[in-house]
Amino acid sequence: MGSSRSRTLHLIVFLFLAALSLRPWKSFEDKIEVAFEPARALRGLTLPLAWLSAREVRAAETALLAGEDSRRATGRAVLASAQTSAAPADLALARGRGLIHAEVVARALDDPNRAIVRFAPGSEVARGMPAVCGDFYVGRVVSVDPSRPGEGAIDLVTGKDFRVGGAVFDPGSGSGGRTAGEPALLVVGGVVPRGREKAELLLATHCPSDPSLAAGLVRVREIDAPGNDPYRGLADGFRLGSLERVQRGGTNLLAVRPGLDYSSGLFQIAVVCPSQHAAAGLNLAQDPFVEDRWLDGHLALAGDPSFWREGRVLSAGTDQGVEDGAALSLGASFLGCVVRAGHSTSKVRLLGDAGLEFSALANPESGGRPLAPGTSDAPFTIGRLVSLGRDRSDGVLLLRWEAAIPLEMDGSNGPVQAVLYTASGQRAVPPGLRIGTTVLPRGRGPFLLRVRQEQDGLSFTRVRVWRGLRASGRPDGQENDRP
Amino acid sequence: MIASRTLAWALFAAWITWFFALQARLSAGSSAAPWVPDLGLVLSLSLLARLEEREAPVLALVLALSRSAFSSEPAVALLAGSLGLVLLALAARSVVELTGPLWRALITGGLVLSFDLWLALVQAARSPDAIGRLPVGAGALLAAALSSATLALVAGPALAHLPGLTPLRRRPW
Repeated sequence: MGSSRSRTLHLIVFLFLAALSLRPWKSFEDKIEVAFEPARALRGLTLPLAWLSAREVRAAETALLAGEDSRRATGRAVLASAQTSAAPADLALARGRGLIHAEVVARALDDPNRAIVRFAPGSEVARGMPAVCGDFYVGRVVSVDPSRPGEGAIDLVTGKDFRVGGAVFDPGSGSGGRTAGEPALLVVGGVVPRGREKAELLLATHCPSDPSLAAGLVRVREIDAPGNDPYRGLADGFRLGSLERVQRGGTNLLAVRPGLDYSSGLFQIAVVCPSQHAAAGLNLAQDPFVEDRWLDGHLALAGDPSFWREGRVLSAGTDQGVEDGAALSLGASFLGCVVRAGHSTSKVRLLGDAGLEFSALANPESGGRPLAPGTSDAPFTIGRLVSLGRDRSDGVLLLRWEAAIPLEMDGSNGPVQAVLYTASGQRAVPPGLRIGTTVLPRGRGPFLLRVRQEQDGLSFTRVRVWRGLRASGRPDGQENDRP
Repeated sequence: MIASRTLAWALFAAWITWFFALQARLSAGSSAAPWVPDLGLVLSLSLLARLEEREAPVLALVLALSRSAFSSEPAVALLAGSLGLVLLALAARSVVELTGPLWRALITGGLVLSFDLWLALVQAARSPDAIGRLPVGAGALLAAALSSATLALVAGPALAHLPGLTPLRRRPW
């Protein structure tokens, strides 16, 4: 760089790389990662450093694996119990209908309002069947992929063009020309504009039969809808939410406040079908503890040169079946995710790495019982959690919880002690892996959760990497998994 | 001549790999992690003070490659960061004498702070909805810069004289 010309050239290269760092260009970045991968062999030079702490690392791993059988049994029980939250608690809604359990595994790449779901292969799921979560209507089946038995897509009621008929059971019935007890009718579908400040998600309403409507419980009413859809009446009676008037962008709008967190809290659902189609028994769609769905891996030396990060390098890559976003565990404990799989090595983020996102469900320990959603004593989905790092003073994980749907528990009024587990919603992360214990506050979030893990895994060398259905030779899907 | 320089770069790669490994190991799970000096960067800057300018890009490349062996940062961000660090150090070297203890410490502290800030910025930019702020506090970044500056002050010349690096040093101390 003797001349000003070469300095200028290097400055241009720097600016180009800096721009690509901040606004990634995937194909170019992939090439750089491939070019850098052989450098990870340099780790071999530092093996003696790992030997220094080998004994304490082995002891920590052994401690975590102790009692593994009971932890797996608990994980399976929590999962099975969580699945029951998909069924309606209101027995009147279940009567005369069949329910096929399904699990959201991802969102469609090109449409966040379309959920990819997995159900028991052989279930008679068909286009047009309604999908519900507990007592709440979610959307309807839009396609069943014949090339992927047990998989289909569901259009959510939040979609811009989605429409479903509704009936409003409001305290002021009798107004607007209606007789007492007669519900007003409207159409629900899409969401009201959320503005720049990303206001809470509310469902949009259309064509109310009574313009003076201001409040009430909205339930699906499709039986009178035109068309030849044989399944249209199956969703009648399921809840859409509560009607209210809101100000958005200077306009007074009639909107439905949903009882579900559609953006990040929808994982266990049921497809409603005629009663003769119902599948028998529970479907543990992704048993997280089946051995051949895991790959044994080895982590390089503990730590990351950037002291605030919790990254590691895994000695396995795509050649061994590792994919981007794949879960990392030791035994039944969730440790982190693969962030980028190379050919023979992969970059890994542990749970304390700020920015890591995953979905979780909570199993209350203090005897509380969730009233919404699900309305049962089952573990309940708390939705997406985002890591904000780790409190270095005591080692607890700091996770941001949006809590878009406030937690309401009967019993005591205090916060709820709970064990967190991974939830479905990401194809490469199986549900049912233990995260840690925390205290869940009530009310609307966001909240900062302090989660205590049994072991943080920062120094572990042995891990398992989820390869899921790849183990049985199934191809990748076109979904938008969150790593 | 070429062989000796190539060997010297290989040895530098080995040294800096060890330094990054040690730095990562000391930081792992420690409440004092922010106070662990950025050993790899201090070594690089100590050498850069005596390196011929035309070889500075090689140093940037070796720095990025060796750090990526232990890091979960995107390789492109490491490459941009190390090249930016080298360009800044060269600019500083043209104004002040980096071999002097005071400037050596000050510049090292400032550049370590810049490098860490850059990586934190990239991390935040890549998950804006998730974090919404820098993933590390200013106090922790300053602590790392301060400890690195102290190390450069105390051990800078010794680091540049590590075995095998002689062919890379052109200017006398």
